[in-house]
Amino acid sequence: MVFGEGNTVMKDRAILHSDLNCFFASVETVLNPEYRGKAIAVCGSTEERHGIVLAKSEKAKRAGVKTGMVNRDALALCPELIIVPPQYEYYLKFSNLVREIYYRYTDLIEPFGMDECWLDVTGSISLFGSAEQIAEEIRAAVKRELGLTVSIGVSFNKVFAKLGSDMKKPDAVTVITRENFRDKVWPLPVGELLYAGRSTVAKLNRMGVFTIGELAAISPEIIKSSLGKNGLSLISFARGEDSSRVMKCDFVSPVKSIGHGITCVSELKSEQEVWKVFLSLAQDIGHKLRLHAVRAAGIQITVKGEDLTYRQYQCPLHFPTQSPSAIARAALRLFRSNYTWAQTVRSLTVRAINLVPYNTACQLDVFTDSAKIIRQEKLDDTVDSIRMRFGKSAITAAVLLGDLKIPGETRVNTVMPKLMYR
Amino acid sequence: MAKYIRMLLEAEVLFGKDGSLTPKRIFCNGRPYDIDRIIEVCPHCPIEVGCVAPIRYRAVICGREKEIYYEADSNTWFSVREIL
Repeated sequence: MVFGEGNTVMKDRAILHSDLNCFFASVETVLNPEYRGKAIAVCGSTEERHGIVLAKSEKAKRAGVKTGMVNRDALALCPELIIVPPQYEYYLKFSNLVREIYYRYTDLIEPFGMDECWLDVTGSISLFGSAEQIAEEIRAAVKRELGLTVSIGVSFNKVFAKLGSDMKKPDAVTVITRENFRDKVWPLPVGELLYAGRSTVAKLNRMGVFTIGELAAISPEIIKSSLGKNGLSLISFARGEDSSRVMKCDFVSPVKSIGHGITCVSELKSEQEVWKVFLSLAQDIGHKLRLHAVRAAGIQITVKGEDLTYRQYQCPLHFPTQSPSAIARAALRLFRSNYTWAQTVRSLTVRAINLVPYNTACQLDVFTDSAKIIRQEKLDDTVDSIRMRFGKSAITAAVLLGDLKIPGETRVNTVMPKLMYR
Repeated sequence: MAKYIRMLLEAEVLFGKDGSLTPKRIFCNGRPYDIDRIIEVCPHCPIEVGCVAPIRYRAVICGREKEIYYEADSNTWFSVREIL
């Protein structure tokens, strides 16, 4: 394999994985330099019951503060911790600014969340120098122009590039080649491998596989019998045989489901309260179904109790629909027939599944009043267009007036990491 | 430890046909200062003050080399001043 110019033939791709260090906390430090060098954590609101650590600075990390930790536990571990609320609009702004730097070198950029990206610079080497040089230039430019630090992994595939970016933090470039991956990657714990989650790691450990090298050495037949085809993918990742492409920024995967969930500001104790939350959640779902020109042929609900355990239920719908009220009624029927009220309800999620194109024909039955369905669709379309023109609060169901135990809308919609594309 | 502030400036700016911005004069505490020439223009984030991806202009202002910044996010010009 050669990363370079001249007469040598390039046999491998040059993939970078760029990971912004302590992203939210770093942006807060750029905006408020008095935080520099201090232990800070960006946390959700305790009052709105989102009080967990979203991101922490290096000093907070060294004190033992972890992402996902409850605020009071983080303060107990690190009494001098400064807690700041999130400012998602700035995180999105900086994420886009960093991507503009990436765009100077390649258009093959695949975001993986707000703070990570893969870049395919195979075609850029003849213009800008080796992959490692490009990575160093990006690292320096992000620091100089935006005040943020980034760790970049350079390799011949996406999985190893991501492992590389995890190796040295903060503000570093790590190169993993075909010559050195056995020394650098194979000793690592198998849990470090992309898509090796907790239960997969537990299964592998029970089989005596603890490192990535041991996973690479194991027989594919044994792994397939235990983990199925995902196991075969993991073996190929471990052996450096991942061939997944870096998908361009503007590639949008077809939407498979549309959901909306919320943690309520206080526990829901009655079906009436649950109904109101379902109806409120279904408004946004109906709107997004219209945006994507699809109908939902099934519904899934997730109910989280006060002990933070959750239960999921799903069912098909009689007819594919975009109607918020139909979705909400189906969600309530599902809830009523399955939830035993052993605990009060802390949060609810409704998801429209089994999506079909809007104009898909469906078989009616003799008992269904199709004229009523059409009238309801027209009413939903009208309400949706009023909300689009004049805002969500311009028109709403009367039952949604008053206290719904739902916090105010503050989050910015961000696209979360998806599966890799082959 | 030294403390710094962002001192907002009024500026007279030439908008070029290519979309470039060239400051010609700045005003500080109401006093005008002519910009003799621009030495360098580049994106640069000063770590002393909070800002979002500003452009740094190194310029000769009244015979002395100074740095002023333009932040597109807030559409403001500023300099970094140490306060004692």
